Amino acid sequence: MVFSSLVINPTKTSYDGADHDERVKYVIRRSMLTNIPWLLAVVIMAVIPIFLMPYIGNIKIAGNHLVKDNFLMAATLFWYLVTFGFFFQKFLSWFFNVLVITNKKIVDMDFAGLAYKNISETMLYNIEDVTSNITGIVGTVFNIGEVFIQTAAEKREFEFSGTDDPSKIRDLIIDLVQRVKARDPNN
Amino acid sequence: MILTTELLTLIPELAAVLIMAMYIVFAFVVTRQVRLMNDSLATPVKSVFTLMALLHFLAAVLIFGLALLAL
Repeated sequence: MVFSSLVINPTKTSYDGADHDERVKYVIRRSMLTNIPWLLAVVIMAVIPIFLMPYIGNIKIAGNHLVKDNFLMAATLFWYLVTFGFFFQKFLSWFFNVLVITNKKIVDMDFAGLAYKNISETMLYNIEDVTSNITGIVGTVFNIGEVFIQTAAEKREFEFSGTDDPSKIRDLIIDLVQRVKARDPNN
Repeated sequence: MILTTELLTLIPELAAVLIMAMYIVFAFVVTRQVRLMNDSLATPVKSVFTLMALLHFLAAVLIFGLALLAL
């Protein structure tokens, strides 16, 4: 399922800069539950015109309507377009902020808003240890937490938060790292 | 007095049209952003995102045109 928070062996998926012999094994996103606040905001935005537009349409100044009916219709359409734009932005942010794990590397992609893009990657054999962490009541109830990946190369740490079942993710990564290191012990 | 009233009713509409014009720029930037994201991570739904971003941009232009006609 392409819209899942953990996609195993995804088809037709690759990242910019992938080697020809590289295969994507896992794509990890934040939990679907982390989308609930902005989805609620979308619902609220969608119902606002139902209450507000009749009120605005009735406002009169010296006997004239403040906003003409035709214009009010265009403004309502615009409001729904903005609502869709907000939804689309948030959805893209969820969909593309991922941890991509291939048979060779881990790639952490971060996008924020329209103007921020940060992509970090490391070879699997560089990974020293992987830690999972669940904090707070919501995290404990829904099994949502963070995964920290410590690399040897430059003492760099990858962090991926809001993921479903962080223990499973930790296990998947460390199993993959073990397989890579066993295959090529010199690295 | 009539002119003043007409001006008063025009101000919110002109302000809304200005916001709609700025939104067109935003919608255009979103199409570029989608292209950048699709280039960074290619997925099976790449073309769906591209189409949605394009429709979003076209809708922004269309609604701006409708608003101008309704002024």
